[in-house]
Amino acid sequence: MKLLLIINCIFSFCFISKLNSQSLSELEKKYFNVKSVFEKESFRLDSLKQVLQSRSKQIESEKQNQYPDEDKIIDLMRNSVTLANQVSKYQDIVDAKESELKNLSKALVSAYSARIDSLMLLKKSSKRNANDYDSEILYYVEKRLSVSPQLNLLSFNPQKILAIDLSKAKSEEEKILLREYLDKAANEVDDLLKTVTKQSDEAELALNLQKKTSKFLAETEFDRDLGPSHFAVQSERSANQTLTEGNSALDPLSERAVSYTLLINQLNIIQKPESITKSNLRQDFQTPNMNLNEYSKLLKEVKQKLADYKSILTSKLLRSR
Amino acid sequence: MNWSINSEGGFFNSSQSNSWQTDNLVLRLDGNFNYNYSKENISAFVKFKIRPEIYGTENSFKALKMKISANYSQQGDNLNWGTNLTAQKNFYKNNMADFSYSIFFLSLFSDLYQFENLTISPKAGYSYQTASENIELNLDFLFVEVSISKSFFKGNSIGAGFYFEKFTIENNYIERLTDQNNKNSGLRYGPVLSFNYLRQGAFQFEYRFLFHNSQVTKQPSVENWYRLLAGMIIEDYWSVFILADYYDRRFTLKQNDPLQNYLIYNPLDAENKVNLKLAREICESVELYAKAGYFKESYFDSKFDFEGWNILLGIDLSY
Repeated sequence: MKLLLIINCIFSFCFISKLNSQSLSELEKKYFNVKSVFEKESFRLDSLKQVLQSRSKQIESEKQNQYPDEDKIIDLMRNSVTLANQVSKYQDIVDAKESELKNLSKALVSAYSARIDSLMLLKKSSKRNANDYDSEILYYVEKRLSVSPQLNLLSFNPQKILAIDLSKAKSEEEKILLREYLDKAANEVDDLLKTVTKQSDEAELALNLQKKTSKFLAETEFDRDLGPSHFAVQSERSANQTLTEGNSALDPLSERAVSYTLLINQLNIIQKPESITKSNLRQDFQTPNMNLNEYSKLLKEVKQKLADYKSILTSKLLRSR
Repeated sequence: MNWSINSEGGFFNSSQSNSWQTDNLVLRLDGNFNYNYSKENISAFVKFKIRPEIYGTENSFKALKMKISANYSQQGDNLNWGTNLTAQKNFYKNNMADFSYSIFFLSLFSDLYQFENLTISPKAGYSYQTASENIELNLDFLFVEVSISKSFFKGNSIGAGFYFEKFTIENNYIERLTDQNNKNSGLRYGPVLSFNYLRQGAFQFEYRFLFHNSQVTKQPSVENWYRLLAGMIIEDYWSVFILADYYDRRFTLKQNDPLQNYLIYNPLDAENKVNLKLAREICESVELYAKAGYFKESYFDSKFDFEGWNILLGIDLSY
């Protein structure tokens, strides 16, 4: 009976894999196409914005002249309007592509999750070596991470930044450029660390307050907290709600929790690639309605990972001086 | 696993409707032991609490309260659900009376996140309460409550719901002494509103309005229950809390029969009270606090009022 179940699982997995692999590979192809267009249009948009910014500075500088050239100012402003319209047009394109990318990313995450769950099921029921499944599971977990929505947390690829080695720079200009990248990355990580620290302190305060409130109620109402108005239970549930600002997977705070989870996993892989197993990786980003305690722990972990990453970047910069 | 012990003592003053007054010392000890389990999306706990109390030095009134509670909950993508089972036994004794009461409570609760930005929370349960000796009152009820809550700004949640309960009261004392009806069954139902805020401080407000239909009351008979809970942490180590409950009922009895009063529903949360607490955290596991409180409770259609106040100092140790 057990053998039949295993054979059934294997054939089902093969069949579903084949079926899914067509749709999965199509999804992946579509995702990378959209991502490529998004990156191209984003780059174009950034360039246009830079030109618009420099044009605005030119206008300001001309206005502040002792004898401003009105014709020049009018000409600059006319061109700026055209530029601003182009920026607006490309912004719309980029926003649409970003939204499409997010939806594709979610579809891919679900597809990879389904694949991972099937592999885990097979791992439990099959007599094959568990390590064989582990490498395949890890492959899909990494794929899932690579399509994660954490693009909006760090504007750079943490792994590529860590791979920068200033001692291998071919010229002084290259060295200066690479140092500039590292500096910007370090500043961005520092800013994110400050934001996360503030959020962590806020969550910690809310958690502490929630615990003390529950304790106060429990002391005061020792024998009267039974019944429909079971406030202690309600206060914990409502606390979970209040910090998540709504309960949809689409709301900003829940998305942030998902992004932080993926960021932690990404930083884990970068720092300790040889010791990573599936068990090290956080799996809770599939359930956006995490409670206050879990959210607070997540923020502390993000803080720690970012602090570690920052210290690696800082030591790279110090060594290069 | 974690445990905590707290000990508090101070002064209390209380009066009953027969003007019996006691000014005296009160001493309480609270023991709590918790076992928590969590794995992936499952969490459970078992809590055991015990509280001995002594009121007064001469002809002291003693109480011993014990409670055990077990909870199981599971978290899913769009649905969290759980169940709770609690049993409680209270013993009371002084040189005139010796009685106890027991409560058994079973509930099922869940939160549905199917709809964007809304949480639907259905809850249902059963409770059985029994008092012994001269009271001999049994109450059991089944309840269902459904509420919908939504967050309108950061830190906030506003809820509205509906509560329905079917209850039965049995007074064995009446049955033993008279041949009159010793049972009263009925319904309580009505809207529930709540407001919660948790960020820099905590603020919670809840209001219930219930229509009361029973064999000993006639329409209109209504109940109102208000709760206010607020607190904040000041300068990391100080905290201050206030809890205020107000229960008001307007019952019209069907018959002008004194015995009917002993079949009136007295819910556990009928106590009117105001409690204040100011605490100072000495370290993570030690807290010193001062409490002041006032309470007033009416039993059996306001025939007996029991009210009092207390001022206490206490220490809490936890691990």
